[in-house]
Amino acid sequence: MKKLFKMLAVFALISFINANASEMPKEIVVASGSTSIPNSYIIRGKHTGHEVDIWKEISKKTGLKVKFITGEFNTLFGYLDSKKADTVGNTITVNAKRLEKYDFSEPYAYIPEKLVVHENRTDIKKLKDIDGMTCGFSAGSNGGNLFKQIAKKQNIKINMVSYDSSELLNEAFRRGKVDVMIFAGSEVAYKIKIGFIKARMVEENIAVGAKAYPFVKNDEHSKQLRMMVTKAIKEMKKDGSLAKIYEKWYGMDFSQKPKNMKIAK
Amino acid sequence: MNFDFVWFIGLFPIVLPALKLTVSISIISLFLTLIVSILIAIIRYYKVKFLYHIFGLYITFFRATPLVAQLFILYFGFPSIFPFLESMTAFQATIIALTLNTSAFMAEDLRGSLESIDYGQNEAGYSIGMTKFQTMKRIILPQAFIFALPSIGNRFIGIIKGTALGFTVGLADIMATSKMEAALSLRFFEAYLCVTIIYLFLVIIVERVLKYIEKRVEKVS
Repeated sequence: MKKLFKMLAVFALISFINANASEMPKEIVVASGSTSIPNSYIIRGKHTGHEVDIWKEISKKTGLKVKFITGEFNTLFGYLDSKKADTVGNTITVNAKRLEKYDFSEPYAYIPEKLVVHENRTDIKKLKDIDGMTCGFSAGSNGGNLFKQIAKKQNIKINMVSYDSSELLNEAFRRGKVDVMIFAGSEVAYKIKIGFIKARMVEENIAVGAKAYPFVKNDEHSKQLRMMVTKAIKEMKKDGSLAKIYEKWYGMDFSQKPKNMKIAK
Repeated sequence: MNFDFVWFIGLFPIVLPALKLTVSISIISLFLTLIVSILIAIIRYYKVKFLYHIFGLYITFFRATPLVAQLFILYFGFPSIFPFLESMTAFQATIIALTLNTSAFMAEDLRGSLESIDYGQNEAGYSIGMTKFQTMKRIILPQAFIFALPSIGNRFIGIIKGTALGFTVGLADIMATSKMEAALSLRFFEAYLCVTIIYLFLVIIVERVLKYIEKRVEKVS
C-alpha cells in the first residue's frame, strides 16, 4: 500500500512538471506602481496609466492574459523576486548593474532624465548652472545616480537629497526645500501639462534612459514570457501602436531611439 | 531567489557610515523625550489645573495619529502657515516629531509609575518640612523612575526604529542609504535584510545597556 502510494505520488509529480514545461504561458502577472503618475497609478480605485495601455496592446498581440499587482515602487521587485509577479511594468531604466540581476525585454521607450527648476529660473540652461543648489531626487530613480556621476566629472558642487517617492519630492520642491528636482522628462512633461507642478525643464539632458521590462534570470517560464513580450514590443514599434500610446499620454513620442544620442548604461 | 551574497556584504561598508545619523537622532530624541515626558507626567500626577487638560489633549492627539503623518505635517505643512519654521532642517524635524510622539506615550508610562508609589510617602516628605517640589525630586521621582525603566527602554527602541521615517523628509539615514543602493541594481531584498541586521545589532546593544542599568539600580535601592 505504502509502495503504491509512493509510486502514485512520483507519477503525479512527473506529470505535473511535464504539464508545466510543455505548454506555452497563457498568463503574465505584472507588478506596477500605484502612485507613479502617469506611468501607472490608481485613481478612485481604477488602475490606469500608460503602462496599462501598453499591456493591453501586448495582450492583444500575444494572447497573454495580463494580471496586475500594484504597490509602492520599493515593493515591486519583491513581487518579482518571490515569483508573485513575472515582470515589473513601471518604466524601469536599464543599466549595467540591473542587467547583472535581470534579463530585460526589448526597450519600449527612450526617455531623457531632466533637471527641473522653478518657472522663473530661465537663467538655468545647462547642467552646470545649478552649481551650489540643493537637488532632490526620488530614491528609486536612476536619474539621481546618473547625475551624481556627471556632477563629479564636471565638478558641479551640489547638495543631493533623496526622497522616498516622487510625491514627496514634488512636495519638497513646492515648499522650497529643494531648488532642483531630477525626473524622467516624460513624467515632468505630463505633470506640467496637467498643472500638477509649476516648473520648467533645464534644456540640457542628464542622459537618455532606455526603458524595458525586467524578467528573472535562469527560468524557462520567464524566458518564454520575455521572448513573447519582446516580439510584441518590436511589432508595436513597427505598427505605430506604441507611438500612439505615448502621443496620447504625453503629446510626444518616446518610443523611438533618439539618433546620435548616447544611451546611459 | 537570486540572492547576491557578495553585493549584500559589500553593502555594509556603504550603509554603516549613515548609522551616525540614526544613532545621533535616537540619542537626542531620547534625551528630549525624557525631559518633556517627566514634566508632563508630574503635571498630570498633581492634576495641575488647565495644564492637566491641555496635556491630556496632547497625549490623545499624538497617540492617536501615525508618526509618519505627524512628521509630514510638521516638515511640509507648518512652514507654509508659520514662516519662521521654514529654516527647519529634516534632521530637526525628525527629532521634533519623534520627541513629541514618544513623549505622549512615555508621559503616560511615567504617570503610571508615579501613581504606583504610595501616597503616604508624599505626606512623609511634607511632615519633615519638604516642599512639594523637593518631595517629588528626592523621594517620589527616583523610585518611580526605577519602576519605569523597562518601559523607557521599550520607548527608546521605538525611537531607534522610528528614525527610519526620516527618509520621508529626505534624511539620509541607514534606511535611505540602503534603499538608494538597492535602486541602482534593483536588489531590494538584500538591502532590507542589511538594515534589518544593523537595527537588530543596535537594539541588542541597547538591551544590554538597559539590563546593566537595571542591575546597577537594583543594587542601589
